[in-house]
Amino acid sequence: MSLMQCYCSSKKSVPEADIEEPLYRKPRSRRESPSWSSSSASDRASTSSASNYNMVDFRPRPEDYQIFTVIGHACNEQATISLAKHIPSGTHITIRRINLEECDIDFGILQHEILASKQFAHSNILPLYSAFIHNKELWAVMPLMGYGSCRDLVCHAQFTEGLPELAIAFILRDVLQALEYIHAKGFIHRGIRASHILVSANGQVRLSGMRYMLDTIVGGAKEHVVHDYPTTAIKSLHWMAPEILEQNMAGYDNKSDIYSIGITACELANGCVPFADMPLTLMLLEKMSGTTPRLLDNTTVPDYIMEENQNMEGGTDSGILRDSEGNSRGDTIKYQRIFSSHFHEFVESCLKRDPTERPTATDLLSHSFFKQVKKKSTEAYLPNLLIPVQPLTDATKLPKDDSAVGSLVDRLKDTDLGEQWSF
Amino acid sequence: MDRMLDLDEDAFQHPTIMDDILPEDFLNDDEPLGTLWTRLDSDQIIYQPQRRKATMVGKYLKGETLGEGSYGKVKEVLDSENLCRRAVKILKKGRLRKIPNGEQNVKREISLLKRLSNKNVIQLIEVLYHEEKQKMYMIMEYCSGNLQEMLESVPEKKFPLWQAHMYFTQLIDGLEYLHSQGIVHKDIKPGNLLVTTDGTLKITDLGVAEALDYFQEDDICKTSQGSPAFQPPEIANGLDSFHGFKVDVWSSGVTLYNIITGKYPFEGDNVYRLFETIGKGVFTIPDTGDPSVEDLIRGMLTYDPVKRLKIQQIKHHNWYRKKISRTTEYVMPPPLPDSDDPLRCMTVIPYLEAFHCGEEYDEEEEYEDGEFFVEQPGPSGQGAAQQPGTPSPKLKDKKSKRKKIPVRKFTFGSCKQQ
Repeated sequence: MSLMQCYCSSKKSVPEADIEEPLYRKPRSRRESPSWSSSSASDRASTSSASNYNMVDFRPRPEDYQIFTVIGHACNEQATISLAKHIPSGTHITIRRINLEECDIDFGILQHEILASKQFAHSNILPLYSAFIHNKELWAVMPLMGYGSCRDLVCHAQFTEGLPELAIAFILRDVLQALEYIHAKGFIHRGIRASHILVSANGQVRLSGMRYMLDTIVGGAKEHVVHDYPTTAIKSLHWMAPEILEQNMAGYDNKSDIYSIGITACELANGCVPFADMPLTLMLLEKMSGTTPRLLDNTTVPDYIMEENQNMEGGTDSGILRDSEGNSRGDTIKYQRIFSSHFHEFVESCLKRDPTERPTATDLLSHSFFKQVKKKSTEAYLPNLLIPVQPLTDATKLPKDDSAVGSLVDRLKDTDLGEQWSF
Repeated sequence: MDRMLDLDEDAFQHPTIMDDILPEDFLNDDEPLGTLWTRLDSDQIIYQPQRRKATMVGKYLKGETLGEGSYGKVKEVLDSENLCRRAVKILKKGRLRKIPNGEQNVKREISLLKRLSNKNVIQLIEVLYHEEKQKMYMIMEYCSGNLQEMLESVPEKKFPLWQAHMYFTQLIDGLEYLHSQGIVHKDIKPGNLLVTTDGTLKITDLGVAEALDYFQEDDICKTSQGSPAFQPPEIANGLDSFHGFKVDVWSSGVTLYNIITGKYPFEGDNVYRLFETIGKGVFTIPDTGDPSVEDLIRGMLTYDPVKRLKIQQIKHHNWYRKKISRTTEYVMPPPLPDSDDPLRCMTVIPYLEAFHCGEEYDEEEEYEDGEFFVEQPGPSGQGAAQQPGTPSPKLKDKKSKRKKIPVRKFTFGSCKQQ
């Protein structure tokens, strides 16, 4: 019953996205309970802290929204992300606009993204308040995520060599909570990467990037393995598990998302994506031959340098460290820092070549790596760990009219949002 | 190396000499003929597993041969931009001319496939041309095998009932779509039904298909070039015109008969005898243990095309609507010749190794990321330099400080032994 109430309240806000509540929702585990098992919509709103977004009725009417400025691009630069205000409630939100006549994205994929997003209600998943078409443009109304994506954070001058381990633990724990929920509902995300992990100004971590979400429940029965290859997900290929790329008869399952978690962990910790420095075909070859990326710190960088030297002589190519050589400052940081053995072990278990050897999202949540963040809320700690990065804007400090946009734009330059926002 | 490959392909240029010798030729069209020649070649003439040479067709990197049609080879390729597996049908102009209606059939197939989009009809991704080599490349969805190959891989030459049902329902769905688009396939048979890695059936080979005129009121057709064993009595008896959709229903009926019993309803020592038997329209069904499927086959193999079941009637038939639970029995697409990989992993991998690691270690040269100078038989021709992957800008800077050594030709997969 409580589920139905939650659903009804969200359905009311978006009348055009009429989605049947799936019947296969499983009883939720203890860990997820705060946001869900609450008996009324108001309880739920209070747990998904800081804002009353869930209580606001976001209608599919363009006149309800005042668009301020473009803060980023998504979907191969074909979508613009704008800062906007929802006039009836005065809340600040972001709107993603895609010109449907000019973009080459298959409309079915966009439709799928919207339908998938509407099926999820979890405090760590980016909600979609409303979606509608206005003047050839598809508008998607979403909350404002002040820190942008984790990719943006890693691009910030302070963190080019990676985020601190504690911050990563908070981020990954919340992402895994979202993933556990997604997997329990029978979906495979297929697009987990730093640019799809968004952080709000108050430190909430939310997973987005639902475009390549795959429903494994067909005709009421869960498929054990799936074979669908996401041909349009070119930008996510580096994060994809070898068994997806392999496209053989064995297929893949939701363990492929765990591999992506491992790659994302490396991305957050090292500041760069493993395999990013090589052509896609070579990346494929490396993944097939079982090359596993590692966290770069005092324990592994010397190994790498030795390996690299051996490679020069021996003629085998690990192909991982190329981006760190020649970059002396980065090398020093990587050489000096030490990640905990739990973190190393966490990444190693995620990146196992054999998917059956990888732990599930639920297993990972009880991994010793997350001991350091146990019973600590992300909102309370994460913003402090991200200093000096300033969140894009605080909902309270936003300009009330157009005249203030100029100063905001200046502030945007400081926050360095050059990278794309991938919602 | 080049010359050897050409030799191997030249061997297929004169398949006509075998035409009147092999009885399978009219039973199962051209596949067995091709396979026979492949074996001869690979065993005795040029089979050298160590030699891999990376060749590109446009952005596609070529892998092993998947099969052999009358028009040319079908090879596995890898899309270097999204790493998707594809299949390429390589058509040689010279060879097409030797086949009656060859060029015309290919043109028609391409124009038809371009406007079709259905889960159970093969998708044509793109068509590339190479003017100098007089070759045409049709990039298609990757499939792991056709029903004919799968049937031949098991001794009883048939599928378990649930598997046959799974394929048959998909065949009817695909056929319903084709008919809704005004297209008569005319050559439905197990050899023209492909199966993807996840078991989805794809109707392929629209070479002899006919698109009805938009303003045509009925489905009357006047020509047929389909495989004899799957032809209905009206064609076997040589009628001038016939109902096209009902031809497909008949061939689907023969296909269903074939995949369930492992036999053909009509047989004959040669085309004339065969047509004689079909013309009489008398056949028996071996015991299948399921009377409703026998009823369906009789309905689809009804002598009078007017009384023969329509697609909609088939879809309402009890056997079509029946849910047959999966058993442990399952016929998989067989591994490729010269391979024992039942999972059908990418055959492009050894070529990729040659592509990325080939030779430069022999010459003790440093590997260069962004530069690939590969002989390129792509549509742009001229064997120009090809850059399949662009390195990140950051990297380009760093690399450019070093000496650039183009990796010219890749012939040996030497750096990583399998």
